[in-house]
Amino acid sequence: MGKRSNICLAMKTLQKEQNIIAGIDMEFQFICMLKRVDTIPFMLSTSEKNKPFKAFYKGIATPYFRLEKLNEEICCAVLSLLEAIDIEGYPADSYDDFYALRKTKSCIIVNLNCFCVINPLSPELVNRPLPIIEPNC
Amino acid sequence: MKTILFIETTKSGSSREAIKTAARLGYCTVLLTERNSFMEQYEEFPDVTRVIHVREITEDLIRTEIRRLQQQGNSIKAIISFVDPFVSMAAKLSNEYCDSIISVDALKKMEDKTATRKALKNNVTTPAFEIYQPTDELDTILNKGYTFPQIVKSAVSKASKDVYLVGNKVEMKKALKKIIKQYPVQKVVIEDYLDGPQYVVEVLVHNGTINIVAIFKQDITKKTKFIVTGYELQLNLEKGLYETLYKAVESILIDLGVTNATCHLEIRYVNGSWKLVEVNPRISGGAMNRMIEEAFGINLVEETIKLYLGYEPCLIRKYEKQIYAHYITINSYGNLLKVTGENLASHQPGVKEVYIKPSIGTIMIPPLSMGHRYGYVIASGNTSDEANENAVNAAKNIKFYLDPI
Repeated sequence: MGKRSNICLAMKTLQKEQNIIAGIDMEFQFICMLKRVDTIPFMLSTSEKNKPFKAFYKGIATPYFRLEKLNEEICCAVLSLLEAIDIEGYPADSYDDFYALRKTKSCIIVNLNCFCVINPLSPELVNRPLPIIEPNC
Repeated sequence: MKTILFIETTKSGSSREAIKTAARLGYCTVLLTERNSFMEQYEEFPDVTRVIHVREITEDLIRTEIRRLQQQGNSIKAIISFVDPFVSMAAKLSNEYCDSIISVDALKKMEDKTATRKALKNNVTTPAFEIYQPTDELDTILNKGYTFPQIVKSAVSKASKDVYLVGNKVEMKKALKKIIKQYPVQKVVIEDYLDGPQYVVEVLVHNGTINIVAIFKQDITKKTKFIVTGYELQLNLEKGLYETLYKAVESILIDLGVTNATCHLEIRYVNGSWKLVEVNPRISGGAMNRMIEEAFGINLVEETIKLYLGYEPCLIRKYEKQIYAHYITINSYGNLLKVTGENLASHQPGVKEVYIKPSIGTIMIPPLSMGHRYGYVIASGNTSDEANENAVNAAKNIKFYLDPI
C-alpha cells in the first residue's frame, strides 16, 4: 500500500476515536463526561508545500473540518466545515484571532487520496463557550 | 558605593516605587526577597542593582547579607521595607547599622494588631475589643455575650485577608476556626464593628512633628470581606472635622510613641467620634504613592527614604488636585485570556494612570482580599465628584476576557 492510503487509514482511526469520545461506540458506566464532545477537528494538506486545504463557508475559506462519513473502499469522505471564530464570537480573520470552532451544516466530499497530511486539533475547540467578559457593568 | 537595602517588595505599587526612587536618587539598590519569580523576571527590575533571593527572610539572615554587602564595598545608608511584616525589622537594622532614628518600637506595635489595641487601650479612638489566644476554648469565647455585628481578625492580618465581619455566633465560630487553622500561634482580636465612613490618613512624623500628608475617603465593598474599591482625596475636609481628626491622629501616635516614621491609619467616623480601625507602619500599598504624587506633587516614598537617611523630608504641596482612584474587581472565576481597553481608558478625560495587574494566564476570582483587585484608574477632576466620575467611566473601557474554570 502506498503513501496515499495512509490518510484513509488515519481517517478511519479518527472516526473510531471520534465515536468513542462522542459515546457512540462505547458507553461508560463509571465515567460521567460533563462536557460532551463529539468532534475531532482537523486540517488536511495536499502535497503542495503543506498548504492547508480550504473550503468556503459564507464566503470565508476555512481549513477546519469534521469527519461525517467515511467510505473506506473508495477512500472518500464527507466532511462538514467548521467555522473559526474569534474571542468575541465573530468569524476569525486570521490564525492569531482564532479562539474556537463552530459546527456548520455545510459539507463537502473529498477524495482522501489527494492529501498527504492530517493535522488534528483539540476537540475542546469545537463549540467552546465564549469567554466571560468582566467587569460586567 | 552608597547603597540602600530593601527588604521585600511587591511587583508594583508603593514598595516597588520606593526602589525606583532610590535608584533615581543615585543609590545602589539591593533587594532581598523571598519571591522566586523576581529572579526570573529580572528584566522587569532594571532599577534594582542586585536581587538577593532567600528562602525565608529572618533578622539573622539580613545581618549576614549586610556583612557580605559591606565586605563587597557597599556603604549601606539605609535598610527599608514597605512590606509587612518586615517594616519594623528593617527599621531596627537601619537604626543599628545606618544611624537612622526611626521609632522602631512604635512600628512593631503597629505590625501586631493585638499590640496596637493593647497600646491604645485607653485611647478614646479604640473600640471595645477582646484578645484571645488560639488555645482558648472556642465556647468560652463564643459565650461572652457579644452584641453583633463584630469583627474577627488575626493579629497579623494584612490587605483584608484575615478580617471577618460576623453577624452571629455561628459566623463567629466559623471565622475563628478559619483564622486559628491558618495561624495556629497567632492571637485573635474580636472587636466592635464600627459603622461609618472610613478614611485612610497618610502620616509622616519627623522629630515628633506630625504631618498629615493626605486623607482619602475609602469606598468599601462589604460582603464577608472588606474590599476598598475607591479612594477619594479629601482636599477640602470641613475644618471642624479636620481638627478632630488631627487630634485623634495625634493622640494615637503619641500613645504609640511615634517620633520618626511614616505610617497610615484607617479610621472611621462613627456617631461624631473617630474610631481607629488599624494603623500600619508604612505608606499604604497599591496606588497610594502615585495618588499623593498626582494630588500634591509629593513623593511620599521618597520623603520616607530621606527620613531613613537622616535628611529633612519636604512635604510642601507643589499643587493641589482632586484625585480619585477606582479599583477594578470582577464577579466571575476564570483564566485570563485577554485584556482590552487599557489604552482607551488612559486617553479618557482626567485620567492620570491606568494599571492592569494580572498577566495572561492568571486565574482570576471575585475579591476575597485586596490582592484580588485587578487594576486601577487614577483620575483627576475639577471637583471630587468629577474625579470620581472620570475614573469610573474610564475603567468601564477595561475588559477582562476569562476562560471559565
